[in-house]
Amino acid sequence: MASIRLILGAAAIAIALSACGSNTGSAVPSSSTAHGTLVVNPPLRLVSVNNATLQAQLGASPSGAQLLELIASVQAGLAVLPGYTPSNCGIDVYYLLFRTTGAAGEATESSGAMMVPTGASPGCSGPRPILLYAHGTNTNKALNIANLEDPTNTEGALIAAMYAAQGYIVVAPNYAGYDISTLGYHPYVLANQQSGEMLDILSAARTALPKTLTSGTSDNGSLYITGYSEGGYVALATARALDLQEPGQYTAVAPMSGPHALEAFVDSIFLLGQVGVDDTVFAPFITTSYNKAYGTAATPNPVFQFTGAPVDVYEPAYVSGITTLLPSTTSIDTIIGTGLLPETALFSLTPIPAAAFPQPPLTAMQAGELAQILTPGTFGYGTDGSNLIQNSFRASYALDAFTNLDGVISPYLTGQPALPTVAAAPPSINFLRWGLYMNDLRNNPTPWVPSGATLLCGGQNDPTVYFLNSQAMAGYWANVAGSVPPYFALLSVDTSTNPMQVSVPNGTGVFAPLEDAFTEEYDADLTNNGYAQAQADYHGTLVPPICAAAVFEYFLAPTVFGGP
Amino acid sequence: MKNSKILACSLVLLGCVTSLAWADDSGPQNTVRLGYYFVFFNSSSTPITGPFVPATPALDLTAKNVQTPYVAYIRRLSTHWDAELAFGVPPKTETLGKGPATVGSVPYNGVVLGSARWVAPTVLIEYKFFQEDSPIRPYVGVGVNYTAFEGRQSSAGGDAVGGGPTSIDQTASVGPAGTVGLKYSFAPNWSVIASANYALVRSDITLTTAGVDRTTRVTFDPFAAIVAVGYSF
Repeated sequence: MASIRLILGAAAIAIALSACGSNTGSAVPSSSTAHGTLVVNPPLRLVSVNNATLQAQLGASPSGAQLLELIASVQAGLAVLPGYTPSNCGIDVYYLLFRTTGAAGEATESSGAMMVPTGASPGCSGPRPILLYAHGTNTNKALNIANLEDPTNTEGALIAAMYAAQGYIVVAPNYAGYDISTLGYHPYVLANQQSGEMLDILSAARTALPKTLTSGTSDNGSLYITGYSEGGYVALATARALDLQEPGQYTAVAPMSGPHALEAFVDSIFLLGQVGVDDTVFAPFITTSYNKAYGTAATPNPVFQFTGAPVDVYEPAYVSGITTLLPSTTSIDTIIGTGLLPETALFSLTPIPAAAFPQPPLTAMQAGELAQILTPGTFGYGTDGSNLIQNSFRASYALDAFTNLDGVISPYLTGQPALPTVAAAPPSINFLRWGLYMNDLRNNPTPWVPSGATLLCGGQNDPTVYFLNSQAMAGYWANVAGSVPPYFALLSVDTSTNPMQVSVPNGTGVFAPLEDAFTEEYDADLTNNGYAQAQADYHGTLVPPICAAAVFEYFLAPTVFGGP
Repeated sequence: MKNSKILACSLVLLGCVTSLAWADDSGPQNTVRLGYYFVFFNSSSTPITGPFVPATPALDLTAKNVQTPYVAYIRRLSTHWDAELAFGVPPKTETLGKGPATVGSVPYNGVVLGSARWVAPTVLIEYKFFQEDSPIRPYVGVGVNYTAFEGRQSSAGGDAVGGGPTSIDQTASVGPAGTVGLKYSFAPNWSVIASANYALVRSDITLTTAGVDRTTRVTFDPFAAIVAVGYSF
């Protein structure tokens, strides 16, 4: 469920293998453990396909054919741009093994893909830009985004077709904790580790590129950064990390559907009770990651009433083994089917009594108001005993959110003062909220605005990673930092204000064709499969290819597709 | 190690039989032959297995037919028995892809993927028909073939399919060998022979590319035709 399932479905690409060789040439692994080291140089090429073969293999599946159609329509639409010539490249996919660090800075190893464009079509060889891509939450521990033969690797196929086959050298990590990585967990929505890993694979890729079999393609020095969902967050965190080193190191960043405003996002779940699709899957990823990064003791703030330890967070039925539950080689459907996680029941149906909130800091009236806010809702609330999060932990989190209001959340609460900014607010009670605050991309010692062109793409009715994340970043730049990034654009590919809306307004502006394409796809899903399925598909299947296309257009011409 | 022991035993056996007292001394005891091998492979292999190898269609290997000079020493044991130690000048034998036309878009079927020099001595005990003074003497023989694969080298095509510079580990082979031939003596001490030869040559091959191992077992089954001139002394 949480695995990103792009529109590609089962598009698969055949791979290459070794057949015969010399006793002199095989690469020997590097013994260096310095982060950013390319472990095997030259790296293994897993696939080499020309454009005709790539198209034939993608076109063999209905979803792959749909993607090719989307790309063709994007190319046709771009014909109005002066000097634009479509690139239809072959690709060589390399498997990179590189050194990086874990959540607590421990040395570890990770892997990923480098997809290099090839062929005689314009813009497919010679000096080309690098596109650094971060993938979305994936429950499959065996995920290898470089292995395009794996029919479940739909995100790999999407970036291969959308970016590499259109002239970008795509570099994408699998993340520590996946594939060959021996790290026993995945550092998740952890800005420093994840941006560090992105820069580590970038360094490894730049080392690898001159020594590959694809000698006709080289790095032209331009860098573009994007990613989806978890990876949208990672992309933006990477841009920030580069800017903190030195502004101007990347041309553009375009995060898609990312949880950038982590504190506000999770506040909307824990305090406002708006449980989203797949929240029960995200929860163990986050608590494990923050426990590894910051420890499970009630530090660094001794007043935390609750640590991030599973026994504090989760109902007893789920505590055992939850720190190593995800990612897993067992399918998420089996994990849920065998009762190791509930499918949707994040919170309890039993109301949290006002007495659960200690006083001070709350008056009896405030405690009553908070209890009222926390009245159980519908989606995401299980019957007693089946929910994932303990009421006591939710009460602790909600109290923290209520007393240290996030500026994005305050407008949703009646009787609260309007906060002057949308900056995150420092937590004082709950460990999880503190971890989210630490990693919220609005939380900067000095205001930060991306130095490169920036597009935030998503769907405004996204039921999984709410669009408020992108809106909060836009608000942060405009209201707190005081300026927006160059050629800034905030794009919802969904023009509907209500996901059940029948008559959706047509798209307007430069992204109108993509907005209309999203409406068409969503409506078809809604009509054919019903509301629940359309909601389930929204974040992981429907938005990704449309936003990916928008990002392609934006990267090509930010002056045309972005703001002033 | 095991193979080299068997070879050593075979050579000892050859030494034993050549020094047996039952060798009579009518006529020259030694013959040297020079000629040519025409090697035809009838190879098969198990599908290559390992990381990132497509299961279907299966990827097999075969070898390209070769020709190479033939050198042999024959020790006469008796009227009807000879012992032969045969060598070919180690031929550079090319390994070819056998399977789909391409892997991805990389050519595979029939592409030269690599090469090795086959060091392949064969020891044979042969039975000669007819009498000593017959100008034409058919013979049959059985023995042992040892094959080592030296100077293993990947080709650009092999590296392309493998995904990078590739090294090969290839086990030596020890297997039965057989021959059927015809000897024609056209002058005192001089003869020509033509023979058909077969050996069972099997090798486990490990291909290592960027730290990734892929394996297969190839049965080469070479059939070799030999024509040669012999001088006896």
